[in-house]
Amino acid sequence: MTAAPRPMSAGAGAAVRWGGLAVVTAVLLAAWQFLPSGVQGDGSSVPKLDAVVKALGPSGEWGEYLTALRTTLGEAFFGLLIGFAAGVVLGVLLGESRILRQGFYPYALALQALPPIALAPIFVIWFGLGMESKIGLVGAATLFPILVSTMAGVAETDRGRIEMATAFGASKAQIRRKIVFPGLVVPIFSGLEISVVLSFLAAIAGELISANAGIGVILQVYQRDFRLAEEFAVLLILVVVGLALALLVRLARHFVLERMPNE
Amino acid sequence: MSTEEHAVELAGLRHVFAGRGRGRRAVRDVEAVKDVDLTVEPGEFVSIVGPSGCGKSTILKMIAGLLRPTEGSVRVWGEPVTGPRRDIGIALQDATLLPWRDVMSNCLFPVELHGKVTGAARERVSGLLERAGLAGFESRRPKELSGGMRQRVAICRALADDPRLLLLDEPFGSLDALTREQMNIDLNRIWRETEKTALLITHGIDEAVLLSTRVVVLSERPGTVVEVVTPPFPKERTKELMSTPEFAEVSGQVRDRLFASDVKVGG
Repeated sequence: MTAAPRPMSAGAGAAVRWGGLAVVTAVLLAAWQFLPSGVQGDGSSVPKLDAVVKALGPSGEWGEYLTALRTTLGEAFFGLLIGFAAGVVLGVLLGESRILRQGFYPYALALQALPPIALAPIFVIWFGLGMESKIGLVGAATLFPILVSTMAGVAETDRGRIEMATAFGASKAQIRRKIVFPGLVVPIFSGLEISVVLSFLAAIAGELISANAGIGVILQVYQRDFRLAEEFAVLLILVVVGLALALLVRLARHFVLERMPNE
Repeated sequence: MSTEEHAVELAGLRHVFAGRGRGRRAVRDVEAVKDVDLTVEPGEFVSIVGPSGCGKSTILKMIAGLLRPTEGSVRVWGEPVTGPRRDIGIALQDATLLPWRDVMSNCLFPVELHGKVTGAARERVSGLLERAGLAGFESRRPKELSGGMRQRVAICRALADDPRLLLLDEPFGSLDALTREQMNIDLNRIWRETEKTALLITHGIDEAVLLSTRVVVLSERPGTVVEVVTPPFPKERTKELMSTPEFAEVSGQVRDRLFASDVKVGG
């Protein structure tokens, strides 16, 4: 016999949610620190937790991490800006024109089939070892999700809303401005959620291929020198930054949807 | 001019939805309505009832200027309809409110399309919302409202730019019976207080009889007018009216006519 699910108070729900997370985290960290090296491999391949924490601490290379992170985030940001702007503009154009969509969409799909990392060597030749090549790479990687969601948003605008506006005498331009465009906020944010993660990924991937600064570069330096504690410290930072970026987009979505102007 | 006296004038109206394709996958032409003659006088509340798919909505869309008749003519206030008119307010089965706008701004949408939103327009909408029992909800978003409230907002929106003619296409079709009855009483009051001319499309017989000064019964597709019933009640309609023998008699008259051609009603 199974027990009927009991209604749960908000407090109890939060306790289960955070309590479960805390327990799992504690067990994982303890296992990391205390499990014998036989389980971990040969001991040198996975640094102990305290070594990683030490690498993160004030005696570690904190300053170096931050400098690298700033470069990488800068590349991700400017690349995303380009990908976002181009994605929205192209998405609207392809969404509105069937001819353009049928002509260009297969090319967009073909480009999407190309892994962005494979483009890195070419971008380095075109734009050099500095941030520019990574920005280009991030732009290419982030464009597609935004383009597709924008395009779908335009093409799938609620027919009922268009009919309603038409019945009230709305012109084509008014329908675009007052019905189609405001309706794009939600799909564009869905695309942005994917693209933000991709932007970070593409920037680091580009740096790993060839660069003179950034997270990818210090990852390679530590790898060459077998400084595994520092390598893991950087990975931890990446996890935190990646989560923060995703959270930021969600907050921005919430903020924009709540505060959309009444027009 | 004599035609100026009619709010709506339909003459020999016919609409055919063109088919497409060939061979086995072809979609045939569908004649939705034919030979529809109907006039609506200023200040009237006319309902069009008919079986599912009889072209009720098609007629409304032609009056709204969303569809062109295949044959015949549509005149509103004496003028041939060539497209959507600014002096028509419309509310459809789905409220189709814009989710990113609050209640006030949804209602002002037609005003905004037709020109500048003035203080006077805001005041008029406030008055409409109050009459519709929505005072205090001006800055709520549609998702915060119940289905019935959304429909009332849609009707306020239809009236916002002070149209002379109100077109309603089953605006309460998706509501439960109780809410619907309340909506009908509210709508009757709004119609009396605003003194508009109204045309309602519905498949609810009681709803049509309760609200209308005239009920037009359409046949099965292709829809054409088979009967016009005039409920002999004063303008003010109440819930109590619905349980009187007179109401039952008029409803029965409409129902008999609808079933005369052995068709199913509903939909």
